[in-house]
Amino acid sequence: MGQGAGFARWLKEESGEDVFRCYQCLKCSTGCPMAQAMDILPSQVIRMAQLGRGEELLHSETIWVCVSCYTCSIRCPNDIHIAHVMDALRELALKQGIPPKRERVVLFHQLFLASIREYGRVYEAKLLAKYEAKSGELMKNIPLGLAMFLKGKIALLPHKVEDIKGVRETFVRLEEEEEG
Amino acid sequence: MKKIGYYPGCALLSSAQDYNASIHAVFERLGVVLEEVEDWICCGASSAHATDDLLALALPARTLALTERAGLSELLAPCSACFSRLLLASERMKGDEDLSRRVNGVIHPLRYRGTVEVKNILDVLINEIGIPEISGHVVRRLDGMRVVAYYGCWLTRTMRIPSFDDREDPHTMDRILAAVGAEPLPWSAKMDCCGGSLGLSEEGLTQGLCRNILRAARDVGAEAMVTTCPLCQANVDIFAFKHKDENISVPVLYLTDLLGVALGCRLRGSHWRKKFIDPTGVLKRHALLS
Repeated sequence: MGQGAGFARWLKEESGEDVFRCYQCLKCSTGCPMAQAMDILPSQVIRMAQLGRGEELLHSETIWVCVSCYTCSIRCPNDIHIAHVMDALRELALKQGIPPKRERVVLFHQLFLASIREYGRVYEAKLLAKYEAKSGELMKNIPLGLAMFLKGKIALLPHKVEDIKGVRETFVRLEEEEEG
Repeated sequence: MKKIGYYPGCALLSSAQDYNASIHAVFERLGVVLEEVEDWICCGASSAHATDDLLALALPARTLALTERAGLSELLAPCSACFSRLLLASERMKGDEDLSRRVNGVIHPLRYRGTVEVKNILDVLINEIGIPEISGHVVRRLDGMRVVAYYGCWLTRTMRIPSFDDREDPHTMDRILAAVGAEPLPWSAKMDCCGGSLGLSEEGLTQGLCRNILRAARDVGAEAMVTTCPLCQANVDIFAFKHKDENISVPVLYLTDLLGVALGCRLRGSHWRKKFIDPTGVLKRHALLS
């Protein structure tokens, strides 16, 4: 999946969003706070989805630059949840193993979710340390991290939930469900 | 005494501990019992919805199921991201039997039946407690303090679900601030996104957003910015800290910090040191710090 006439239909099934409702008013693109960093504007994403040009969307900067602020979705006169279309595109790009244009974004999401799987809640100290180490930005945030530590804004120990077994089972069942 | 389910969320246990503290102090003063849902888990935030839709539903659904099991019909989530994720998951499950079955299959043996109402803190303060009740508890008015209410993106953008306030031009926080004597100023960035979901990974992309928000606050002469979202607070406050040389810093406070002052709650001295941009100068200028 990713190209051709079936793409918009696939998108509808996955996200519930009907891109054929769009009449290119451009409200989404004009209100988007990240537009200047995008290679394909939100209104163009919707048009290209109509045309079945999914491959370009899955390889775009746009899907990883979108901050999910929902400005586009709220303003769409045709009730297309554009930000949710972006979610569906990101999910498909990851499933297809397409290398993301913004690798650090995906790395952060993966470490964040791994933290939930391990503790049930986000253990910020470890998440930040791992992220710094793996993203190759080790030195960049050290002054900030130190300042946060000194202000007591970083909990040193994780807040592990009681039913961590249940949380992990949810993750496992989810993988089974998505594979099956 | 009114009782409401409480979901602090991960940020309020670490980077926003001070928010948790001022929420508890203010609600105690207002006679509302916050019953924390036992064993709640992370909502998944952007990392879940941006990568896996079913996971983005399953994580909040676990907490919603636990809320239901505890006999709570309302759940207060002070963080805008938690609020948005919990609300959207709850409402999507309520409106779609097939989806609900799928999600419940994944969170088994827990099961969410769809009976919880997810609320944000402004909604609870204004619609359940009410302005008269808040005004009635004021012991120290914030007279003359010029503030901007910063709502941020997810509070009112509850896609396809009625919002508690106008989606593009909300006023509830301004009304609460005015009720305790502060002077909320009209400004252009109240709904602007701080870029929180990419704040750490793509700082270069999002710092323009924080800069615009701080400039807008400075341009109207605000002495402080007030928010209810721990991600907005952290993002804007940290940006201001890293870019002190730009001279656009204003302290970023939680609404409940200022309510705490107005209602005479005991907030320890260390409370104010949690912010990067020191708010004590503003508080002293208005004789609000003893």
